[in-house]
Amino acid sequence: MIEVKELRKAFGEHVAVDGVSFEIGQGEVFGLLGPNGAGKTTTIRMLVGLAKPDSGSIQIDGHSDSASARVQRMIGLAPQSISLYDDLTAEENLRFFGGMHRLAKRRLNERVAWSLEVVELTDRRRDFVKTFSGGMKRRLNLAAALVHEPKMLLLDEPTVGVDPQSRNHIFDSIKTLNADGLAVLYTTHYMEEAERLCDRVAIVDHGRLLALDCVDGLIANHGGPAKVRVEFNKAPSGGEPLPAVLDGRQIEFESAEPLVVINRLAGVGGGFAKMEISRPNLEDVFLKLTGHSLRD
Amino acid sequence: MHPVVLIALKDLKQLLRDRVGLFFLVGFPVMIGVFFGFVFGGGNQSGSIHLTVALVNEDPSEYSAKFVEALESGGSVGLVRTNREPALEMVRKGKLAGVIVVPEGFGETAGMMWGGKPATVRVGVDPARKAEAGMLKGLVLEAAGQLVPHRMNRFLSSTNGMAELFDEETLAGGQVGTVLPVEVEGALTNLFESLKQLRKANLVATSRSESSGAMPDMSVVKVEQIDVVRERRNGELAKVRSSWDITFPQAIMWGVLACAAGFAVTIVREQVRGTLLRLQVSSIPRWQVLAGKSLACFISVIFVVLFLIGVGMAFGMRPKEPLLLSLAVVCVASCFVGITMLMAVWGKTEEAVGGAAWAVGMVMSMFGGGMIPLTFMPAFMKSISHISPFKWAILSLEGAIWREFTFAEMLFPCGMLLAIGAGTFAIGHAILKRRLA
Repeated sequence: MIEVKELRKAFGEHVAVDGVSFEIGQGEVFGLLGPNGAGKTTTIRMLVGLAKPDSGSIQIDGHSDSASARVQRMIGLAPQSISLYDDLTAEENLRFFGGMHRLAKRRLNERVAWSLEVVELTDRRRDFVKTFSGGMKRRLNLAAALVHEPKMLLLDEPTVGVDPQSRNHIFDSIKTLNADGLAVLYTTHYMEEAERLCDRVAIVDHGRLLALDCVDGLIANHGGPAKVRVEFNKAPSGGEPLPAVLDGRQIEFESAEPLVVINRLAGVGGGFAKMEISRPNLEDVFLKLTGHSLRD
Repeated sequence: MHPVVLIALKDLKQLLRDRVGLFFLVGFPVMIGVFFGFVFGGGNQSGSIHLTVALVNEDPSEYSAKFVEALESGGSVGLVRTNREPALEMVRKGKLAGVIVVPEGFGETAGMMWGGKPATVRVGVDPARKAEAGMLKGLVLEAAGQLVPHRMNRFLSSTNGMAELFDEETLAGGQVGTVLPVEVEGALTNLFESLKQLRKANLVATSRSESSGAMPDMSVVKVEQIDVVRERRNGELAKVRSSWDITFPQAIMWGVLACAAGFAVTIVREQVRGTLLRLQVSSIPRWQVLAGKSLACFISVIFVVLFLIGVGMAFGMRPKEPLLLSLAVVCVASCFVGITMLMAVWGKTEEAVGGAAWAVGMVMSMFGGGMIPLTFMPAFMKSISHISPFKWAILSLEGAIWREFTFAEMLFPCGMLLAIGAGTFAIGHAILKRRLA
């Protein structure tokens, strides 16, 4: 559905997006994971035709002009800022944005009702947006991107400043939409969200795409070994050599095959009092790839 | 529904829900109109200002020349010498503050304090400049007063004065000259002449007192008021009915300014809050987004102007040319749609644009005569007023409400409004386009 090749965009000396390439298929949730300033929003702006790439190409459902009305009708954008009219009701907002895409009246009514249902705001449809909580506004922001029945959804940090309950609402909505075949581009700097939602994740930093794979693939290829910590009932008596120096009754080590090593440790005696295996996550992947944390 | 109409309706709905905004849109201008209406209707003002007025001198006497000289020597008034019709036309169009007409026969009695019927000077003032009317009248009286010593000196130095006291036989026999020294003869001549004038004045005064019981008229000049509007059409049309005719165009412009400032803020608010971004990625062309916002601004300006005209009419304003008023309203609305677009790019936050819009609006109003009459301004400021849309807007509204502009006369101020509107819209649009790119 979306095919991006060698996309580049600079603002003066600052290169915001530097040779980024990826593809997103129908029904796929694709994550762009990176810290603030990594180039995620600029990439989205180029995808929806708001910014012109310096070089590279974008193909959306076979169309290369992302600013054209036909392409824009296929895309639903939920911007990072809550882009709603505070002094209109939830329903009026959706009617207005649906009307901008020239939906027929009956279809518009259906889509407004459906969108409100998806984000679970039907009972608040006649309330002014200014009376909503931050989480409710975020959900309505998502609904406004859905109302015109797009084929693909671009969500730019859709959970910023949201309470856990609303975050779960948003995740459930995205999963429902994805199950219906909608392609989703999801940008975030929360690795938990990418791990939980995305089929594939591209890790970006300073405008460059550093790695792209499914979450397991990224971890396997870039996450490094698992961290293991074992506490014995009593100090091992000998036999098999230990993978690290014993600290009292406790030992800590890293291993690509932690279960194999633990199985071996069972034979050294002492008995296990406590055992922790920390599998690497996307935070570790990011750290390995960039040398700094996602939150730095 | 077309997206342009949808955007306009959405903006108008938001406008109606904003109570503070609504107050500035309609409540505040009504307050301004009522306030200035009472101020202008309730009294005169004076001050050290320079007035430029038309002078129509229809009297060829030396006294009228002296009167004009006296007027100019005071330094408070500049005179544009012309004929009666063009003079009235210039005042009616607001180009000059007033007109002074010195009618034929002025010189016959000018400067005589006891000469029976005093000389007449006619004064007309732009009805929008009532504040200056009293001042102009005072200047005329002052100049006419300077003719009194001139008349006395002239009289006293004339041999004809003596001739009226001594009969021809005495003068022919040369008895006066032989009996009295020259200096005594002169003194007596003056005395007799003075007594003669006093006796005449007393006779007139007595007859008046007997008939009316009033004091004798000792004024040096009678100032008659000219209605510059009525005289243009030989009294066929009614004159300016009330101060509301004059003050409500100003009030209307405050409403228009509030509209422009309000909509400028909505445009920047759409940018700041991201709704403009959402509109940009909807499948409508960008021009339709701006057209929708402009349409909403246009409609609200029209609404505000019509509302204020209604309020003005309730107070007593009576527009004389409804069709031309419609033309003026459309031109004013078009002009301020353009200005709104320019105001919207003066800042990047709602606060910056809101503050700047009102500040610039105030300056436009000041230089355009929306706050103080242009007459009170020095010449360079008056020149600046030509670029103020307020000036042309007020002129076009006044032209239709009470100045009785013809369609041809309306074209210039209306054309200026459209030109300013088109220019500001183009600049604002170009800046906004670059900013959004």
